[in-house]
Amino acid sequence: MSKMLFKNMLRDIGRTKARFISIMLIIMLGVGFLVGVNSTAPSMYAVVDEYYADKNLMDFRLISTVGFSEEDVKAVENTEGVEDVMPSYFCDVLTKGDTGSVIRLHAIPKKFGDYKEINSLTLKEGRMPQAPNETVIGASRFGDYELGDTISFFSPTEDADLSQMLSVTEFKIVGVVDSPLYISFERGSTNVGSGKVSAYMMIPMESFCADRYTDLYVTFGELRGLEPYSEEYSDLRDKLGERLELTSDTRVQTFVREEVESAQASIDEAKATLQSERSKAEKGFAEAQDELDAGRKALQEETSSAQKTLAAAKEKIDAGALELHSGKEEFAAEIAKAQQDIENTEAQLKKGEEEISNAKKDMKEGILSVAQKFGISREQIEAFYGEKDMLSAEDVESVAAYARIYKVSVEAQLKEAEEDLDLLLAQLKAQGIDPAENPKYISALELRDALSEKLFALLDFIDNGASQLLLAVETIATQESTLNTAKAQLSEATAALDAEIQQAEKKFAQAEAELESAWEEYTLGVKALETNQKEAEALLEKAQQEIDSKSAEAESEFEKAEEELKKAQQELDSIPEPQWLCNTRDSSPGYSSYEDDVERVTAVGKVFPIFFLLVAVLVCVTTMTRLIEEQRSDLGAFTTLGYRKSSITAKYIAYCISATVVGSAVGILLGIFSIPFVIFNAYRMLYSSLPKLVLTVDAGSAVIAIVVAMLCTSGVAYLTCRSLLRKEPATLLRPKAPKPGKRIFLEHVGFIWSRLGFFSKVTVRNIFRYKVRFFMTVLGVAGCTALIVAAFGLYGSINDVIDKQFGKVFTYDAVAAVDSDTSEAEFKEHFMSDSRIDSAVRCRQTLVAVNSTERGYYDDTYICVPENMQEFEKMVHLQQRKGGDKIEIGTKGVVLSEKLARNMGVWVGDKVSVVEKGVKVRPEVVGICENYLYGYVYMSPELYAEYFGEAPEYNVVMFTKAEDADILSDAMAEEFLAKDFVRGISFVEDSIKAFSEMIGSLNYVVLVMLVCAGALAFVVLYNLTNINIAERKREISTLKVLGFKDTETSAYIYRENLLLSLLGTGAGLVLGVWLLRFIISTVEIDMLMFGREIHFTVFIISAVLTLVFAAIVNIIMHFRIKKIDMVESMKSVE
Amino acid sequence: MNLVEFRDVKKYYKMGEVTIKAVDGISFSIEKGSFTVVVGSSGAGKTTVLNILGGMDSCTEGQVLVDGRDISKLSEKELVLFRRHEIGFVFQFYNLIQNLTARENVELATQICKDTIDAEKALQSVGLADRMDNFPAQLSGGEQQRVSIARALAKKPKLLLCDEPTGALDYNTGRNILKLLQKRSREDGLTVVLITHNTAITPMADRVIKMGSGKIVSDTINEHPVSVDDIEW
Repeated sequence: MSKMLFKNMLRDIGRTKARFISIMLIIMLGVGFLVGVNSTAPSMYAVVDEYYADKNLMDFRLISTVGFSEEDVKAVENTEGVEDVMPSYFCDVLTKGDTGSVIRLHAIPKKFGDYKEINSLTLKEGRMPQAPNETVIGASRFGDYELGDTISFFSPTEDADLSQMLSVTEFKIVGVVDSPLYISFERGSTNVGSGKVSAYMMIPMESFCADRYTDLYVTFGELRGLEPYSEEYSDLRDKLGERLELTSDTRVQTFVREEVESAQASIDEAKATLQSERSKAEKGFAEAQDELDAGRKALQEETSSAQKTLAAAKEKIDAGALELHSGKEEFAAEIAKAQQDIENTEAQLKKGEEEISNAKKDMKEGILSVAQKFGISREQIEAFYGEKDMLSAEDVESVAAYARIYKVSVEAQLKEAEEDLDLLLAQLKAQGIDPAENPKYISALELRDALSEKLFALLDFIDNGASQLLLAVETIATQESTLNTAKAQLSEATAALDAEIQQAEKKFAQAEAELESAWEEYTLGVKALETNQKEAEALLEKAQQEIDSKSAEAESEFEKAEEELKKAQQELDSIPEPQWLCNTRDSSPGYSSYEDDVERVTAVGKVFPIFFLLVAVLVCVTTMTRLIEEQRSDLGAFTTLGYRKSSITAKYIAYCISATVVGSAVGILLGIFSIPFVIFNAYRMLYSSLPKLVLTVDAGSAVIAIVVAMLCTSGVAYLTCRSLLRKEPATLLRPKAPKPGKRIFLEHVGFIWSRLGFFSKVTVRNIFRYKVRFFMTVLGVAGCTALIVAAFGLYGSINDVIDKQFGKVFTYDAVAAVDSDTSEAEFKEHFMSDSRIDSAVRCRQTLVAVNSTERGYYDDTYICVPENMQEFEKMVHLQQRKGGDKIEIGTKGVVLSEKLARNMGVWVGDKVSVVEKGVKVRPEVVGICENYLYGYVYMSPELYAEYFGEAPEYNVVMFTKAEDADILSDAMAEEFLAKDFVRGISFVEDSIKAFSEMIGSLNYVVLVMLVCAGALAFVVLYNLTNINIAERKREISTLKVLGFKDTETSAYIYRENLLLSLLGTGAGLVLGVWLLRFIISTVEIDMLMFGREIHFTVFIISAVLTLVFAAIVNIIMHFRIKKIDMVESMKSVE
Repeated sequence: MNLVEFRDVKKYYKMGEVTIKAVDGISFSIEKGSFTVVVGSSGAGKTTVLNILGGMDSCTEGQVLVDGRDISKLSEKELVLFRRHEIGFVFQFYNLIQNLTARENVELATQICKDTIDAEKALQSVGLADRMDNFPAQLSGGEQQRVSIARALAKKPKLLLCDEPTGALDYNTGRNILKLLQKRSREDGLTVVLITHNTAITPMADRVIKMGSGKIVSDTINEHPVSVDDIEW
């Protein structure tokens, strides 16, 4: 290719930017998708390869039914080829209150000797345990717990003692880890509790106290460097496993010899020792008892004699007291009489005193009344009296003296008064006034009379009164002295009596005191006796108790020892058949499902990208053909100028290759940096412990994709150029004769054609005119629709699992796990008669191994044996998926769930093996029922009893709530869990929630598919419409000149697009159904059956979405059409 | 009465730094029912004039009156309707839709107009009554141009614009086409504006406008137009 041609090519690229870019884009999409999807599987393998190597994942995990001793470990170490060995512990425990979830406890990996640590952990949060009571929990099931929570563990079986295994049973969660043993959310199964391990936790080695290791991790040097899932690895591993089997056989024999037999001997010996010790002890106790009984008798005798002595003393005291009492009474009577006499005398004396005092009072009154008349004032009299109550003889003399003095004054006054009277009489007579009538005279007369009277009285007193008074005074004084003498006598008598009384009282007191002291003595005696007795009794009692407790203690000790021996015997007897299980990595939960998942991605990778690449190539073909056709005159010019055909062709090939190379390069980059990450991240929701993706590009597919893309585009360029260059240059220089119009077959079908409108006719004819474009558009649009149908269909199918499983198949509201020995009465009392429960049925439901041939077992398969068919049918609807015919379990055989039956390849009438409780039976399949989640084998209780020789032990209760009962609450769960026979309860609502979360990751896949669908639709439609417009520029501009509006012009073109899109959509809907079926059969895992129906809405949404994509492209194109210049129409045809 | 009037119309194109004056201030008028020929060499600006007149391009300055309406002021949408109802256009390369028959090509125009001539009648009037159901590829150049004319006439335009209608045809066929155009103009009173670089055909026109370098060189009225049959070139 010459320089000019190269320049010309670069200019072409610049000129046909849109076309170049669209070739680039479609190549990018196709190649990118192919390489991206194909790189996903190798990348996903690379991740685990590195992860397992990094964590030194074990190649074998030996588990022994009897544990491993140090010698066992040594034997394994010495097995040829073994690189690292790490003994460890694990055990399954239950958490309380948490529906009895089973937790698997592992010891935190720890270097053993000089060996490397195996199965190293990754700390994700918190810290590693530092104390024996700290634990870390496996990450993906971390949700139920929080850092810092304390969790208690309980033994999963009643007869096993957790303390034999664990030194601590209460742990604090201090961290979150990932273990390479658990790469997915799966936690494996167990033979205790619900049968499923719900979480694993890692505790320090020291927290285990078992004397034998429970598991032994082993790696082999020869296996390092082999890819984990490769055949080389599994072949070599199987060979190495045989060596371990040999070691195991030897060690098992040694165990039987050393452990079991010697243990039996030591138990027997201990039994004999116990027996002799026991009889010796019993004899000792009997002797002690006898001694004690003798002591008790002696005490009784002593007590009774003391009691007698005391009784005599008491009698004496009582007699003394009586005597004293009568003496006292007599004396009291005498005293009373004497006191009466004294009182009488006192009364007489008082009377005499009163008389004297009255006489004195009378005398004073008399003196006072008289004294005034004699001119002695009351005060004067009182002064005489002073303190006294009677006047003395001198006083009377003094009073008489006063009277005499007063008599002289009265005599003078009388004389004066008489003189005055006489004078007045004279005066009156002189005046002629009758004196009798004159008041002055009358008053003067009266005054004289009064005075004379006074005088007479005075004279009387002086002569008689004074002497009489003296006499009276003397009499009274005599009487008084007599009285005083009597008084003195009385007081003497009283004093004598008092003295007598005092004396008597003294005597009595003495007697009483004597009695009192005697009583005290007596009571002291009584008390002393009592105390003595009590003390002695207490001593005896204590001695008795001592004997009793000691003997009981000894007895219990013996019993304990006996029990222990019995237990030891039982334990020895219960030691399972010693056996070593040689587990490989495949036994780690999630290990092999990872491979399945990667293979699923590979399967998808084989179909999708090829489809994309096909479309890409077809788009390139049309684009390139058009490009070269457009440049026919250039081709002619070059040829005329003498350029070689090969160099002209090379120019176009170079154009193609540059578009392809750039597109592929960008596509591969985008593809490998998006698709593996999106898919892996979706899977990481399941395999959360895996580290980030290690990108491993599938170079093979990249090379193939680029080569195919290049071959196709440049091949098209070559072929087109060749066919053009074969023509004469002159022909090339002339414009290409436009493709002649043609009638289409439809025009001959008059009744349809005549009915079409003008524009419809044009459209139909145009569609058939450009056949390649027709095919391409339909294919592209169909691909887009198919992808959308598949995406939404998948989404719907996944969601159907929940809707149908819990809406159609299972209609109970909750399941309670109960102890298998729960009685029917308990069941009736707690479930049937609960008003909140509408109906309930007991079932036996447990994980079982089911298979048809020797093809292996299926995970998550349950046997379900309902007790009461009528109630059961209300809650579990066994029916055929197609047609919905009801299936009876019957007594002839079992009903299998659909997916399980399909996995095993069995049909009605075939026989399957069911292993329950170690018994293998082969019932016939009588029905296959609709079921989406897990696998079920339904069996009637009659058949169960027939097969296993005993009635089923019902261990779950399914129930529906009464219509208005609010049963699905935590409170309800707690209430049920509080019943001691209920081990757990789970509500369907919670199951739905949990499952929804689990399948949520698949929504990313749906999203990826939708994005791809959109991208496909855009690129294809854009490209084809672009070519269409380019080819018809002249036509379009002519229409514009003719006066077509922009919208009419666009519509003229779009009618074709719309029709093609509709055809493509229709084809896509059909294609989508196939695609969906393919995806479902590829993606579905054993425990799930996706819904098989495609909802009608999926078709509607897919069609609408496709048409929306088409519409968007057309809207963009509308602006291109608008931009076409009408001047184009003037140009000559090129 | 003037159907068309150009008043100092200018059309400049900017090509980077350079301004190209495609039409540089021209004024002329065309009477209704007349047959006008615009002649000039390549690049004289005659096509630009035709484009502006046909509502396919706008002028930079000046007024273009068609039937009293200034089309230079019209919006995009109004221009579409202007083209649809008032203009008939005949292309040099016929611009028939290859996938449509002769009749359908005419119908393509009549579909979007209200007052139209029936497609069959239009084709009859150009002498193609018996080729109506043929595809363009089955027709000769002259026949294709007749279809193109029929398509333009079927819309009953006020103004028929022809862009070198004989440019791609041989001599005799070209004459026939010109004859047809002249006949339609004479008989139906159709206003025709024809662009050509061939000055030889100017005698058939009522009016001849000569252009050069975007300006009008001469604008002459032909008092006695001759029939096409009398012209030789």
